[in-house]
Amino acid sequence: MLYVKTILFSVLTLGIYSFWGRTAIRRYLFSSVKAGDDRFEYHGTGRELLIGWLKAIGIFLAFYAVVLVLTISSRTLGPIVATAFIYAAMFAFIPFVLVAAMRYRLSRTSLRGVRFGLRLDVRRFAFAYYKALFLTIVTLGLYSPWFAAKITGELTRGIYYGDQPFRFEGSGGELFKPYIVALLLLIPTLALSLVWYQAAQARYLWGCSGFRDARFECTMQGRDLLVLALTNILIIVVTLGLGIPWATLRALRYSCETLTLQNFAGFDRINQSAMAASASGEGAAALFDLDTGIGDIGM
Amino acid sequence: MTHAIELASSQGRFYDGKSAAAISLKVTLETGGVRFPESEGFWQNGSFRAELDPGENFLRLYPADEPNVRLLVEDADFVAAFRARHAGARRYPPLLVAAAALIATGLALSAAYWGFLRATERIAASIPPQAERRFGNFAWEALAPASGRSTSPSALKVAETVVARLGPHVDSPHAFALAVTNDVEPNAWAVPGGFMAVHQGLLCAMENGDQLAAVIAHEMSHVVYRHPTRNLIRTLSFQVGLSLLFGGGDPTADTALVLGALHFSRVDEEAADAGALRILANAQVAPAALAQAFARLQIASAGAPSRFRYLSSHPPIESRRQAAEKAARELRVAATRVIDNVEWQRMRTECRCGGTQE
Repeated sequence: MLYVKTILFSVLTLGIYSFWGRTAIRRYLFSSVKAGDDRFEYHGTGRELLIGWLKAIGIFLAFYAVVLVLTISSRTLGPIVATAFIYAAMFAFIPFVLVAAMRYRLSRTSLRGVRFGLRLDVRRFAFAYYKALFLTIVTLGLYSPWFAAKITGELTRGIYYGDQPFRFEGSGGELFKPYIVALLLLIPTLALSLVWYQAAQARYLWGCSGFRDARFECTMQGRDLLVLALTNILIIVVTLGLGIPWATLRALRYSCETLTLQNFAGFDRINQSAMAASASGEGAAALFDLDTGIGDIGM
Repeated sequence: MTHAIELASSQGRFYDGKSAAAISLKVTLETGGVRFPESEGFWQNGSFRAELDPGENFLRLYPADEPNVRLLVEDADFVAAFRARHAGARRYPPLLVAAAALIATGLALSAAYWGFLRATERIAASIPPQAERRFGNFAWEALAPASGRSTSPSALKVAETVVARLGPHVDSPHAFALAVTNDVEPNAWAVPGGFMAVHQGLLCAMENGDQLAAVIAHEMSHVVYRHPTRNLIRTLSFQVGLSLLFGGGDPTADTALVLGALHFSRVDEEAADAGALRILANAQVAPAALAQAFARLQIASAGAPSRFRYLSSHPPIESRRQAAEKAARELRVAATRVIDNVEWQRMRTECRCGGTQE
């Protein structure tokens, strides 16, 4: 009902309601995820998302102006320079948008009344991102496993639950073999080998992550992931899109069911440490079509 | 004195908002609020907020002034009793919400559109003439490519003569350039920077050089008022935004886009008509030629395809013709012909206009 209401009201209000609708859906999805007996909570508001989106639009208007000036500056070189500028700016923006969106969402997420947060030097992260991206490009993609581990590691180590940080220990080297296998089997399996790699990557990256003395364990399997994806596509197609909420919940349920925190000593001695963040990063993330958080599958 | 009535009770979990440690406690729902009998605590109605998950037997309460404190109750009977006690307290009829949303959206969009129009006017006014000329040259070459221009020497001479006669009397930083295109539809247009074009079809539709000069004076006025610059900025802003969001080619090279930007509002057209009359009077060209040109265009445009029809990009012409006729009567001008009859007829012959005039 939430999903249908969001669509209907978004159409009626020419998209303006979508910020409030998305917030309501996130709130519901976050509440559906339990850690032990406790449910996660989403504290973001539609107003914050709208303001963030307006800020992002402001940034993009300035961006358009530069593109326009570059395009008309020269009949021959102008369009080429403008296109190069568009791609360069988009790549340059990605780490900042990633961090801003993640910072906002974490600061608006809580469990047992204690907020999450992101403490990260965004310039340091951006440098690491550009470096890893450069290495991925010059190695024609072979650096991808290290890239994924590097970026996930940088972000995970910045996550705090209350006053306690998350951990990440891994370089990505262990992913190289499954990555090569997936690439070699790409054509014979019609690219389905990538689904198995995706599962292997999720297992590895979660396995490298931990909180206090505990460590995450992910048991996601390629076959299950493939079945889930195919059945979700079927649900969405058969219901002409109305089944998206069920598909979203199925994907979320599978992600949660395959994830456990091993040897967790409990919630004692975790104290509140709230951090403020703006929603503009998330607005830009929505425009860039980047997705960085839990519970937003399909929205 | 009123007595509190107990509606339901259950076991809940309490979090103080300072740490993640949970406290298990008994919770009682009363008519006046929520009570914690063991700690003698009480949250009065109105002092706390509640979140009921749709379809879930789950209730989350927190004090309005302490947003991180949480009381969680997962008991179907308790949640049902709470729902019955507090349901509908802040609900509005869906139709009212939808109507309010529509009105708010309409107002917000109107305000945004108004702001956009004002902003583009300001931007157009602040663009330096050199940039405007470069911008216009770009559009001019796209709309009137060299391959589509007339090579008739007399047509080119007519165009040059008209521009030479009117140009010195126009208050503009731009040197005007007028191309004659091979198009048969009766039309003329101007893009930023003083670049204009007249279709051969319009040359043929006019009875004399004065009428042509009147049309060109009208286009020059658009340039002076920067109407094409402002409209192109508006259209390109939309197009570049769409291209960036959804992909697409070079928006400035889209001829249809530029043509679309050359549709002016009635207010713009009336301003350009008034400007044209001033230019004609200053250049000692008969101002009555403007109304005559409109009359000729009404006849010529009647059967023309809509895309290039002069009238398709201009508001109702009959009222403008009458206004131009009236305004011209009030102007006293010692007029002389822009182009003599011999030269005009030569142009008509070269352009194969058919028939003879004057």
